[in-house]
Amino acid sequence: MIEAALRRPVSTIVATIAFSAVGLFSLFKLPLSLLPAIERPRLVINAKAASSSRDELLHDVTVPLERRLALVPGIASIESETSDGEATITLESTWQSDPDRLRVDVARRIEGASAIPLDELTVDVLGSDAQPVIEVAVTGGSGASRSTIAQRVVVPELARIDGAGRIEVSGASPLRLVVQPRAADLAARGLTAADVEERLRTVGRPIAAGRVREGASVRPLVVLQPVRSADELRRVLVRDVPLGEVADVSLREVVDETAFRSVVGAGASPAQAAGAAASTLNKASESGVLIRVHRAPGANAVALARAVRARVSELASRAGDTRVRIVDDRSREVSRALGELALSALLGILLGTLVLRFMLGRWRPTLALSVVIPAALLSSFAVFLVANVSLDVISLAGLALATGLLVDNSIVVLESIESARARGERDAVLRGTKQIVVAVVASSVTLVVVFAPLLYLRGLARALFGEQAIAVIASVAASLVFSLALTPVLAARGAAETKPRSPGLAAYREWLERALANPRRTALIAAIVLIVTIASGALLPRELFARGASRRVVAELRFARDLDPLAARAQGEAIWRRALAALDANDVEAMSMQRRAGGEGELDVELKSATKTTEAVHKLREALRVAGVNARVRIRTSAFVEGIGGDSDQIEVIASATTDRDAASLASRITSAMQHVGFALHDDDENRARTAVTLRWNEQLLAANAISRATIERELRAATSDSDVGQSDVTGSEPSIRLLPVAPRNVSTLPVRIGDRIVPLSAVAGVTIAARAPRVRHDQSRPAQRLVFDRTNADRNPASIIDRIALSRGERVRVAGHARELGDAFAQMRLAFVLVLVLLYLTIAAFYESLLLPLLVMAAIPFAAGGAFAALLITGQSLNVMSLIGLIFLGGIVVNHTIVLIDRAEQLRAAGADEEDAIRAAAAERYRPVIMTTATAILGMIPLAILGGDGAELRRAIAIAVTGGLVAATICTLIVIPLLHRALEPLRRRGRRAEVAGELAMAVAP
Amino acid sequence: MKPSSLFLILCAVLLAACHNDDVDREPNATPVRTEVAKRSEFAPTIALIGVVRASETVPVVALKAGSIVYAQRFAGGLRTGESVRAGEVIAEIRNDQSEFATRQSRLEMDAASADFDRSKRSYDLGVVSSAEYSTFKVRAQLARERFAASQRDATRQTIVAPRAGRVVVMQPVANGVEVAAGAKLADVASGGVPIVESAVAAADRDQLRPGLVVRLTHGAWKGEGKIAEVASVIDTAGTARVVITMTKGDAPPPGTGVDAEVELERRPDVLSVPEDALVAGSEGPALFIVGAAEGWRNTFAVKRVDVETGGRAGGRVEVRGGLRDGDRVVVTGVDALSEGTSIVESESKS
Repeated sequence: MIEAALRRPVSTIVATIAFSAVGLFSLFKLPLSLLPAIERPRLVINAKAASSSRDELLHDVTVPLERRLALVPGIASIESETSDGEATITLESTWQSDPDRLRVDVARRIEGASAIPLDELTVDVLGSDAQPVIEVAVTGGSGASRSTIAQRVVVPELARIDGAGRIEVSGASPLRLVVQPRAADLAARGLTAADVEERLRTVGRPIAAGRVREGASVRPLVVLQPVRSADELRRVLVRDVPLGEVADVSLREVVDETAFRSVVGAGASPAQAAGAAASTLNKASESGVLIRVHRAPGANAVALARAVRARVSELASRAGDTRVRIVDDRSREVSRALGELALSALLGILLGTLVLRFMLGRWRPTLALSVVIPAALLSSFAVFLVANVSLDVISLAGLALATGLLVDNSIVVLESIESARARGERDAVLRGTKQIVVAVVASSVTLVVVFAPLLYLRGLARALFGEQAIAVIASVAASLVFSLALTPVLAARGAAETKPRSPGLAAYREWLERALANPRRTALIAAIVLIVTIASGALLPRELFARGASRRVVAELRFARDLDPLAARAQGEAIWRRALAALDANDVEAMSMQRRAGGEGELDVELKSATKTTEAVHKLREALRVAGVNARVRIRTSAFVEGIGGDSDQIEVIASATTDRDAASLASRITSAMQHVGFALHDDDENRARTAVTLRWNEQLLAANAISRATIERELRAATSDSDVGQSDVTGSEPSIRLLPVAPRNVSTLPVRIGDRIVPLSAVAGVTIAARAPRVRHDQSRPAQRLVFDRTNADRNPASIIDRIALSRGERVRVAGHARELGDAFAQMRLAFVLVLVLLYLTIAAFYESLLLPLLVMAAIPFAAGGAFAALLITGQSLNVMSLIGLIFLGGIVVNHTIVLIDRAEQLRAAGADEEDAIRAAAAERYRPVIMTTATAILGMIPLAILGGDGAELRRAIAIAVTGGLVAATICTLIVIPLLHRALEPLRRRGRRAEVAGELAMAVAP
Repeated sequence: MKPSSLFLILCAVLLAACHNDDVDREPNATPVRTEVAKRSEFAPTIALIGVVRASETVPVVALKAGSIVYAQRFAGGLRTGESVRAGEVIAEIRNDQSEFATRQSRLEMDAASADFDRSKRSYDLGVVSSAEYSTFKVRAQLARERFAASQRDATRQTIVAPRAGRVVVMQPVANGVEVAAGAKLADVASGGVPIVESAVAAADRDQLRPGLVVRLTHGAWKGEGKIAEVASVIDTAGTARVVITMTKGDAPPPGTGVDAEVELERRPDVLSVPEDALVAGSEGPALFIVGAAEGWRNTFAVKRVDVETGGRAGGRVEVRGGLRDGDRVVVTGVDALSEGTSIVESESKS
């Protein structure tokens, strides 16, 4: 190939340009997203049967469904939660399952599984990311107009966008006709709430009444009595009594428990004095309707956000007195992170080029080398397109990592050509290239070997590292081809006339001499450094993803359960006011709070600068210490890190056993063990067991009056629940009429019908307060309890504590959420490390026909790991998925350096040089390429490590690990490896049958 | 300085620049509000629903069966609260049969009277006998009586207000509806202090006795009364009739439903807690009480104690057992607690 390339230089250059052009074309075709399509779809099956109790549902719905769903392929876990009137089964699939196939499978299985008639059965597929891609707020105008715009215009428009998944709406308060029956008046008029409900169901609804013949045509006959005002509804007769006499009827904004408030761009104006900060925030604060748009599984977040932005700006122009705007666009993170990554890579290329210029002394050879980088990068985009890899943080990080390496092969080739020229050899270009071809191919193959096992990982690790592996393999393979074809061609054109510089060569020689003179002392120092640095790895905290500087603070709020919607909203307002008062308006970029159904909420603060984050967390923690609201204030790292790994500070443990009682006892054992080592119990199922109002029917009385329990229970439900009944035709209001529970909400006085009389409920039932768990949980079809611990004060590995809990028969403990992903990812990575080491050994052994040489080559790896650990520890980083990628990557690079050095030493030995001379000469000769490749690699990493911006924490972890490891490994390569080479010489001489390296040297020798 | 050392220093500086600031982690004690349990006066209450009735009411009854035709003033049907004068025509009952009977008796009367006139002239001329004349006379008299009777019957078809007062309608009867003889259209309430008629569940009857104070509400209206009578008989619907007399406040119109809260025996030394403080215990209701101090900024661990509860009043519930005087009970924020959770007292109400 080399000869062919040298013979046809124009073809070689044209081929390079063609490859790059194809790559460039592919680049514009590649999908853009923050992360590779890492999907672990969750299916949520929700069965509603208002008239069934928790236990009925459990036996007739949950258990049969669970039994059938267990047979669906691709399901990793089944969890269920059954409460009165509602059963929810959550299926977690394995990574990268196809959500559509799952949905079809599940739908087929659950058909007809329920033993009782259900009001509603839904199957929802949720993607991995819990956070929405983009949030749209509708503010201004009245609550009713906001809600109308949001629900009738904005939501349908957004739902139509390609790639839009679940859309949540909170804070809507639509105008509605509301009916609230009064207990005493119902009783006085001989009515019950069920009578009102029954009558209202038909109000305003068209009723088909057959067909009429008129002349030649037959027309449908419809009875239509629209309700056009509250007065009309008051006049509706309920068993001859006008509704207005027994119920309050009004047209008003109906508040549900969800709420949304936001303040955006507070304190932006410089005129606002610091003293008026709090009031400024207050003034800018407004309520509205929040629409959160999630990504459909597999959809492109950036494209979705772009489409939503376009649609919103279009809607904003015709929103009337309300304002429709984007309050949070998490896809900006994606674009910014990708931009920063590209910038880092470019800076890396620039810095590397400058180093080359410095070392080579002239621009022409520098550019001849540098041209390989874009050519290799562009060519790898073509591979991306074929391998269906998207442009995301992971694949780009792989490319950014590889950038530092792409030029390595060319450097080595150029160096070799230079050396050949310096020796005055004929055909210096061809000979110089041939001399190094084994080393170059070996080092590239080792890199490929290091990354190839990552393609065989499972789960999250595969999803994350697979792309990285493809990126590195593709770009390194391209750079190998270019370095062997393009570099010699450019060198032959006179580009390789360099004025080489070897900074520090004299110092290095001095150090090497000292080391070789004092082998024991050097070995001792090396061993101590190695042990200390490797041990420092144990001190590193472990997490799935690095948490970095962030401008976002989030307070996860849990309000008291069972709160009346109005009280809940008032509580949310109080929290909002306290948060406003606590924060300095000048620091806040945007702020929003939403309260979701079910008593949970979120206060999201985006600060202007990351330096204020810690302060804001402290202030908010103080401010939100409010009884009745549990606020967890923390820094929010990037949305997608939370999306994949969940909240790293929460440890979710699911304890299951054969009976409820056993599960509870296991849960309490786990709780005490975890609390003993400092984990705070954040949430548990047992704790959810609140007091419930329980009724016991006076069955004799019911029997004496010939009343069935079903009838009276129906009356009770009508009296106690919110329901949508009938339709109104009031301009600007929601069509459905809301029937509220009977006032006052005192169960014992609820009117029920006994014979022809209306009596208070207490006459037919004993009313008491009793303890009762509102929901029953199952895990893998077994009774279970869910415990959520807070890692706040504990640095212990939760898995080790849980492992120590003695389990009796039938008891099972499962760690879910972030902790499980962490455990899985690390287990996979351990496997990958072992595989990498074995494959490295085998590859090098095969290349050099020696079983001992690979050990020498791989000796740099522990030093690299030690250096990486030490660097991570010094910089306060953790051992996470990204730093692990860095470690694997290091394995590939440091081996290259050693190969380049040892290869030369072996060649010299084969040429008949003395061991001492050979190692010294090889070290001196290879010092420059090693330092050059190290410097280009490190300078390529430095922008990754120090540039801020979104996603910086991810890049930083890799860059720091690689930088630290490279520095340590280079020192090791230059000092320790020659020492080891010499020390192993007697051993190798004995064991060696054939002088493999010598043969290699002979083959390329003139 | 040598370039290699410079390089190393540069690397070290750059690495140090990457140091991550971690937010210091402080223990996350749950903020709650507490209350010291102490014995105080407590009066449990029983909630009832009742209806306001005038002390004297006279029913407005349709004496005959037929279809109702209201007077013009009441064309839309009778409504509770409308005032009427004594004798004011409220409605008429249209009954075809009685109209036919009146017409028939008038015709019969006219025929009998014509016959009698004819027989009188014949008798005067000596054509008919005295006996025959007497027979016609009796027939004519009988027909007149019949007609008078049918006329009297027709007057009963007009419904008039028996007394001046306000109309109370329980079951409205719409215009044109057929009613049976004796059907009650409304009551006319007049004079006297209104009463509230209520019913108490048989199980609660023993707790009520005449003289207990009752707080009455209807929307924004508030009044007060006393129990005047608790029936000793339990009806088939499982309730006993309770009569409450008004002592304070203007009564809402008769027929209005009111919520009544009966204050039971007031006792001076009762431990009570807010109902929101109750959580589920092992056997029944429980409370979280503040336990040992944890030595970090006023944090304490909480303990769950099972309690026995009694009567309820105004959002509070009596604790009969399990709680001691002086215990600090967590009253707000119990949702977030479990045995041993650290808590800190929050300074302000949410």
